Amino acid sequence: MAREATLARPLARPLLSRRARELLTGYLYLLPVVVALGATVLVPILSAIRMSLYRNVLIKPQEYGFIGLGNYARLLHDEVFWLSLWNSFVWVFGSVSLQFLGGFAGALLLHQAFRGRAVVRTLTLLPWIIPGVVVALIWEYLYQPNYGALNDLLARAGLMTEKVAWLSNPSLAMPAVIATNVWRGVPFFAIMLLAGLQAIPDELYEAARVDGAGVLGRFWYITLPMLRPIVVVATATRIIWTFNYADLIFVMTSGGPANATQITSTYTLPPGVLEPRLRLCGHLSVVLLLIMLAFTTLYLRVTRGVEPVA
Amino acid sequence: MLWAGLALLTAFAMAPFVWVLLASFKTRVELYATPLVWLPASLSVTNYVEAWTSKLTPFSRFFANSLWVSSATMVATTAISVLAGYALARFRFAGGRR
Repeated sequence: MAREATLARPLARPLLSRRARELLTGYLYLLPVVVALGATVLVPILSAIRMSLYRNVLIKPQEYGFIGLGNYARLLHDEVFWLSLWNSFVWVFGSVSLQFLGGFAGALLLHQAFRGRAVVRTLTLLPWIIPGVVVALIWEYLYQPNYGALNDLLARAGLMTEKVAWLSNPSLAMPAVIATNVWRGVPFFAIMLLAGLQAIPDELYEAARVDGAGVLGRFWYITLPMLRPIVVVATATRIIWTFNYADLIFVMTSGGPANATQITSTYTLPPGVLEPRLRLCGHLSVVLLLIMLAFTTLYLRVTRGVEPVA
Repeated sequence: MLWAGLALLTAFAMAPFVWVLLASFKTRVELYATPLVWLPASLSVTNYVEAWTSKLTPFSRFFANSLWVSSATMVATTAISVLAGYALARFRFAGGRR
């Protein structure tokens, strides 16, 4: 893409220089994407920031007005907000760590050579492909206390005498939604790590075997270090997604019971009509945005110089 | 060992689907029966026909909506991204690296 040599000067000097015309064309090509991103990303963010500076309680329209950082100040005393941060941590840590372990085991299994491997790979990938709302509905049905499969299964196995309301018990709801998220996320890690495993050259394993390394030795000194880049990228991506991932919890429990599954991203969603907290949550979106910015910065720093193998 | 692991993995991923698939053939009575009926009495497709055609859940309409939204999105994003990608690759801008 070297600059083309100017062989002959045009007789009449054009209105714009060659460089200026080139730049103009370039910006014209960029115009659609700037407009599209501006309308779908920039404007909503700016209006959320603006919204966060106003008192905006829907049932008290007469109190509408600019209050500066008042919403944020109130957030500091909002117990549910702090609870939701803690819940987010539990949700992200529980989901991602279990998804990683399950996905790693799955990837190691699917990496072996066996008959029908393509079929098994496709089947195990299915939970990842279907929409999040469908996942939530399927699992809500499984958890259903009276005609859900889980209670029935446990009762038949003799492990349970009394019916358990998985999603309406405050101490069980979070583990239940995490289990659903694990089910959904295991294929993601399995497929990412499988791609990583397949990119490791066989020669390394052969050389290690010649040098007398056992199965564990090969795993520890070849598989793990070679997978490191993809582990870092996949886990970091997944942490950000899980933190933002609101639809599963929103459909299954709406953050209940008694905010037991309220994570920061579900707390940001407009609450139901019957809730006392009937206000627009621009300030929560902005806080969420700042948290995500911090995460993304961390992500970019951690993954700098780490090239995914796949 | 390998097969046990694979069976476990597949069962883990597939069990909810199997359960929902079984439920999709059940009649209303079977769905809410106690104790739970595991297998539907017959493989009737009435539920599917009803979902596809009924006024309450017109899945034919939902499907058409999905098709329309996804194709419009695909065309629009591809058109915009192609232009932007070409511009970013071909032209040098202020603030660019080169």
